[in-house]
Amino acid sequence: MRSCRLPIAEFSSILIAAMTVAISTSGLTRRFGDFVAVQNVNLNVAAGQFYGFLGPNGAGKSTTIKMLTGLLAPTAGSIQVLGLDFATHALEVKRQIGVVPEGMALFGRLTASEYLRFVGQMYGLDHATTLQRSEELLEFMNLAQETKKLVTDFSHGMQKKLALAAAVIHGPKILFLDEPFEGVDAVAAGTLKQMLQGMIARGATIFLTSHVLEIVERLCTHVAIINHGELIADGSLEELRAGVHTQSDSDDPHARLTLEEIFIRVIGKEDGAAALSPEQELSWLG
Amino acid sequence: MARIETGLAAGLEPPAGDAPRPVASLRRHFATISWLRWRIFVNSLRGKGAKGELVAKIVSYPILAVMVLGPAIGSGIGSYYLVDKGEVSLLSIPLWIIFVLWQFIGVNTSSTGPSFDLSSLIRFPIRYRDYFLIRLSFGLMDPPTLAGIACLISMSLGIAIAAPGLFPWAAMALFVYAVCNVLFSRMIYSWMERWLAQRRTRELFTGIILAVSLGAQFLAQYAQRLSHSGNHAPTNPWLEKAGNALVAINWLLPPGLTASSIDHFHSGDMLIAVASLGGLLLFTLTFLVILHLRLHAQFRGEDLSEAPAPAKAKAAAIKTVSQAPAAAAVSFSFLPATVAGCLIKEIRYLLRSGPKLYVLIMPVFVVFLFSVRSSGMNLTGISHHSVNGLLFSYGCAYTQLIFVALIYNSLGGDGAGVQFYFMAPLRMRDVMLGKNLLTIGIFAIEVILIYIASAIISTPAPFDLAVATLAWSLFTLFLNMSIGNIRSIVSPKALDPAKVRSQNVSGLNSLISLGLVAGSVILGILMSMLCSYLQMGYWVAAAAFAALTALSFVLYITVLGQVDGIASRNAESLTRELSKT
Repeated sequence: MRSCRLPIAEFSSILIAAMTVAISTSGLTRRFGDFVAVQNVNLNVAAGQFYGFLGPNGAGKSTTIKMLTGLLAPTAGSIQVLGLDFATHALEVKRQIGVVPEGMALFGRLTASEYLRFVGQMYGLDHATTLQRSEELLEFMNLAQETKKLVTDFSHGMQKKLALAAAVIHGPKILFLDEPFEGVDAVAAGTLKQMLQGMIARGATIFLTSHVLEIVERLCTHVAIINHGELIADGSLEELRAGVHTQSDSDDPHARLTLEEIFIRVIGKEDGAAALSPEQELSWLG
Repeated sequence: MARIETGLAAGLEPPAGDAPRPVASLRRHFATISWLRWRIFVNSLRGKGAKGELVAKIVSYPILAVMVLGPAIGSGIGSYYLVDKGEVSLLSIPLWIIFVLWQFIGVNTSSTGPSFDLSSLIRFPIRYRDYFLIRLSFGLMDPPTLAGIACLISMSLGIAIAAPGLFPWAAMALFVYAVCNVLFSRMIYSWMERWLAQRRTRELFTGIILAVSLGAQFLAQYAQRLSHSGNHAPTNPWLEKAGNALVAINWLLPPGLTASSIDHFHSGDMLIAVASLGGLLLFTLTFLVILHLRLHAQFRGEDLSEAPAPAKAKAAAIKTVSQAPAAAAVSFSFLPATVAGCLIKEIRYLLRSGPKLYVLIMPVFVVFLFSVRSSGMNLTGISHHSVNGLLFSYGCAYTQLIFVALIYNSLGGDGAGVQFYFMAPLRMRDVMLGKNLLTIGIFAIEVILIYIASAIISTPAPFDLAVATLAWSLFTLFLNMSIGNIRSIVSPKALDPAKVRSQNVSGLNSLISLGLVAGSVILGILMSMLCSYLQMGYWVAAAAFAALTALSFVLYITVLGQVDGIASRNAESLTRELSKT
């Protein structure tokens, strides 16, 4: 049996990290003309948390993550990252975070190693460190043999792995991942998960959006759910389970709601009686 | 009835209105696609800066009309003249010119709006016949086709005025020739799509096209020079042989066959007239069949262009990362790290973009072309020596003209990668500075090469003229970079680095940049004329442009200081536009 004991130094660093707030937002709002994409979102993500940020399509997940990473300016509200106000300390904050955005933001006409060197240089790493880290990352991601291939010729999964490698090359304290497992095969997903769990074990904070709820359930310690731009649930999985607990669940002693069930209950309650009767349900189909 | 009974027997109650729907008619398909294209156009006017783009489009239409009408009027007058003088067989000359314009002018045209890929129609229930006609019909309004058809109509009118009896036959032959050209261009582009779908093939193909294009220009100019090598000198024997061979081949190809058909009808030799027309029809039919083969393969979902490149043996590809190309060794350590990083990235992008490299070798090539062309200028009364003395200035002016494409959409090649600039701890001014440094570096290399080329071909440019030209170039470059940096952020368009034809460009950016270069050139000419009038050499111009360079440099630095604010305000539209796939 494996020992669960952690070295004292590592344990204390994790404990200190857990007491610190990594990300906090206050009244975070973003409007596009008359449309309110994100409204009055108040987030508190403790350092060292693996934080899942969920919501149906168009709920405001990507808009929120864009604001948290400086890709989009909020219309109202404030963002604090590691105690720094994003609006006034954007450069300092950006040095501490790593991002895999929605479109991956890769430079297609570079090779993987050239791209990592470019990113390393942009984050102020010296040449030797960049070189060493990029070699290690490419080895870890199983991309080291693709020395001449341009990023534009990579498969989707390879691009995702490279995007993640680029996001961590400078050793960020917080990692923002927008749909990191989308279009990634099981083997590549395993590599990504292994890396992310390693980062969490070392005290980093990960803020992740994903539609693959099984992965979120397995990885994340805390989950928030956004719908129609508003935060409607936030807490640990157990807290969320308790929040949507019903009498019928109590009748079944073995009942343990999955994240998918929690998600559907939370979103379903939020959207009211949106479901159509069987007669109304696309009766012309088949 | 049998079908319904079978359905009921299987327990599948057909819902109301479940009768098999007829496939939509061709007319309906055309109407739908026309509507779709119209909506795409209208919706393209809704975004940020759309009003400016619309104004640019409106301003560009008269220019386009002149481009179409100019050759058309020339073709009409030329045809009238040839038929009137009884040189009907020489109609093959304008027909060849029309062919070249029609087929090759499109390679260098850019699209100022989003387009719709007609090959995507195969996912809808559409008949092959309709698909074929749609693929053939849409695109008939593109500038090369419009220009070609206008020229042929004009030729018909010219022939009709010169010889009214010839008109019906000539009109018929020219109509078949027009159809032949339409089918030929569609055939060529549909097959090119198959090859151009893969990046490596596309770049190789682009390189070949560009090399052929440059080679053809050079050969044409060289041939012209040989033919003018002396007023009384006998024609060069090599040229004579080549010319005779080309003339013989000409009669077997569509332009020659069309001219031959009209010529022999005019001279009453109906048999050859009909045979020539038959030959032209045979070409048309062949192009139709080859086009059909490709489109039918596409229609069946067997688009060969989608085939992945053969996988290489992994063992051959395995190398350690440290064995990366030598270009990585360049570090520009004297620059701030972020600026140096951007500069290295830009150099890598440049070296991997065939079209960009083509653009950059053009100025030196143009110097050669000017020099060769100027050999014939004695006939027009312009001093050969005065033209050759200005080769350096011509080359520099041309460089400014082609640089606008790099400067006014400098973020276009980054595509979705532009988001990185907003996520990473760096200032946009560093990014733009990296890009501008590359532009300045290329400009410096271009200037040296142009100077050497002009010195080898003719004589080195006079020192005062060289200094004045250099000062003018720097003034224009800094002015262009000042405005170009803003326009690159405010009105970007995603670029495919491997593509030469139909790149999506901002019409307003094109208009501004061309206006600025034109204005600068006019200023240079005026200053040059002033210097000639005052008989003071070019030092006055050099001093004036040096002062203007200082002003434009101050403007450049000021704008660079504002770039972060401009980028911050436009971050959303910039990333959205460049992340479009």
